[in-house]
Formats: sequence, structure tokens, C-alpha cells
Amino acid sequence: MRTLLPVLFLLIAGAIFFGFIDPTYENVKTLRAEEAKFNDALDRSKELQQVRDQLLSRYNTFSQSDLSRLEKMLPDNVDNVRLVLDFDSLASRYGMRLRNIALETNDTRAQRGQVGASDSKYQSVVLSFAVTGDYNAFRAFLEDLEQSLRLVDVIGVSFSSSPQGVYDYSVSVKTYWLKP
Amino acid sequence: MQERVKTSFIPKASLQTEKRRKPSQSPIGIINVITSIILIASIIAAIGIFLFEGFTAQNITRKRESLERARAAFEPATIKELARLDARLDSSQVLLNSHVAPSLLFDEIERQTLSSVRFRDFSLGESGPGRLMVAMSGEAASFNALALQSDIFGRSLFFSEPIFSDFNIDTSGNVIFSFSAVVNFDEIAYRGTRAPQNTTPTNTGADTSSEQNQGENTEVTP
Repeated sequence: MRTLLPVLFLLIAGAIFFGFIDPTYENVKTLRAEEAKFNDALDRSKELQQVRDQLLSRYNTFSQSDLSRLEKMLPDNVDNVRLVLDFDSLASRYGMRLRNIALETNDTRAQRGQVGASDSKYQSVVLSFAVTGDYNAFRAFLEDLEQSLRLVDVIGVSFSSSPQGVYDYSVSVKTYWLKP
Repeated sequence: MQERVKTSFIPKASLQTEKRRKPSQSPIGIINVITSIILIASIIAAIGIFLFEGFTAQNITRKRESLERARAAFEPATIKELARLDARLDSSQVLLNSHVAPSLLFDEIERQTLSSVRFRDFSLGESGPGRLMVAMSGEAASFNALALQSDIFGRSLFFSEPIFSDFNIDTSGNVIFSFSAVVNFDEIAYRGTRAPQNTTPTNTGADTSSEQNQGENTEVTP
């Protein structure tokens, strides 16, 4: 009996080590790693809180009218009907009306290979239309388009001569909106 | 006859000296002690690690709650709004930097077109991403006038790769031609306010400078 006791002790000690201590230690190591991540996240959250406060104080310096102008410049969606309406109203100042309005999205342009995949934060659409008027009226209309608060780039203009001095202009403009 | 019992105090046998035997150091006992220590240590370690595990788990729970509180304090809606504004500002800046004003091109053509040259049609279009191409066809009073026009457009900063082509003579003796060029993007970049117009052509030949269109009444004459 006396000789069996040490063997029994060793067996129990081994069972405790391999059956409980070792797996628990492994679990503790995992928990410690998780805890370290939480510590890191908490430290970073404090830094982020400071950055957020700084940004918020800067954001509050923007006037509401500036923010809405900025939103009009680069809206959240294409809102093409409003765009056409705005252009028509602009053209009507010079006695012209928009005709033959066509919209070409990025997808259709991509299918034609005109645009590639883009990682930009905005999307664009090409709006084509025709107007009729004299040269000076068209020039004034063009300048208004260039200075429009809603950002539009005139990417195509074509017209031909006519004896009456009133020309048919085909215009393509590209406009943008912020991706969701 | 009864034998007398002889008594004697002298022991008949010599007294045996008792040797004190030292307790034997049995190896079984030492092993017992060592294994007992190992067993006790294992039990203590098991209890310790069990408690430590619980303590760590509690710590994690507490920190997770702190993090959730910190996340809530960030106000995700505000962060989203700030991120959106940031994207809008960045994108607007990029777009403004590449914003074009083709009316500057018309100004340039008006300034640089000779009075002996006129254009019948005009076309401006994208020939690739960020690349604008202008194409016109027109007529000139003579080959000399056309040569001078070619020289003027060749010197213009607005055009690169200017090409005059498709020459022909019409029934009135005018020279018919086509013109195409890549528009220099920097020259038609939107600058917010319109640059003052220089009505003097950049360079003209001495004998034909009088042919230049002067003043505001010049226009691209289709």
C-alpha cells in the first residue's frame, strides 16, 4: 500500500495538470489576448473621443447655409428631374428651351468602355440636350452653366452654321452626386 | 534425593548488548513526500488558475461594458454625418480642381480667328477620360490666310496637336478646311472669376496682322 501511494499521487497530480490546469491556462491565454484588445480599444476610444470633439467643434463653425450650399453643389442623389428643370429655367432666361434631353449613366458609359471602375466617392451622369438660340445667348447660357452652384462640367458642345444666325446647339454636361 | 537449587547471581550466559538500530531511510518515504508536494502544488495551481480565469473573464466583461458606453458616447449618427461632410468636401475639392469652363475656349477662338477665316461648324467632345477634343470646319479667303491661322492656332496655349486638314477650293475660290486639336485642360480650367481677355493675338505675321479680328464683336462664326 505504501508503495502505491506515490504512484496514486502522481496520477492525480497528472490528471489535475492535463485535465484542468493546462486547458484552463490555454483559455486564460486567449482571455488575456482578448483583454489586451479591449485595453487597446479603450485607449483608442479615448483618443477618438478627443478627435470627435475637435471635429464636432469645427463642424459647428460651418453655417447652415454653407452646408446646404455644399449639399446643393454635390447632392446625395442625381435628382435629374430637378436638374433638367434648373437647366430649362436657366435657358429660358436667354429665350431658349431644352429639347431632346437624354440621360446617360455611368453604367451605360462603362458598357461602352468610356469609364472604368472607379473608387471615387462620387458618381456622375451625362445629360445631353439641345437648345436653339443665337450665339450670344448661348454663350451667356454656357457661362451660367459653368458657374452653376450644382457642379456641372460641360463636356460636349456642337453646332453648325445657319443663315438666320440662330443655331441649334447640342450640349453634353456631366454632373455628379455623392455615393451613398 | 532432592537436588538443591543452586542460586547464583552470576549470569550463566553473558549479557547481550542491545545495539541501537538506526531507523532505516526508506526511499519509499522520500518518494511519498515528493509526490505529496507535487500533488499539493497541482491542487494549489488548479485553484489559482481557476480564480485567475474568473478574474480575467470579469475584467473582460467590465471592459466590454466600458467600450459599449464609449461607443454610445460617440453618437454614431453624428460620426456618420461628419464622415459624409468630409467625403463631400473632399469630392467637391477634387471636382472643382477638374472643373472646366469651355467658354474660355470660345473666348480664345474669338480672339485668335482671323477676319479672313470663318468656321462653319464647331464640335467639342471628350475623346477620353479628362481629354477634350475640338473639331471645326471652315473656310479661309486664301491659303495665305489659312497658313497664318494655322500659325496662330499652333502658338495658342489652348491647343495641342492642332491639325488642319481636308483642304479644298470651293466655287467662290475660298479654301475649305477642317481643324482639330486637343484642348489644353489647364487653359480651360475653371478659375472662379473670368480672366481678363487679351484681345491681341499672341503673334501674327507682319503682313497679315490687320486680318486679325479685333474687339468683342468677333465670334466663332459658324
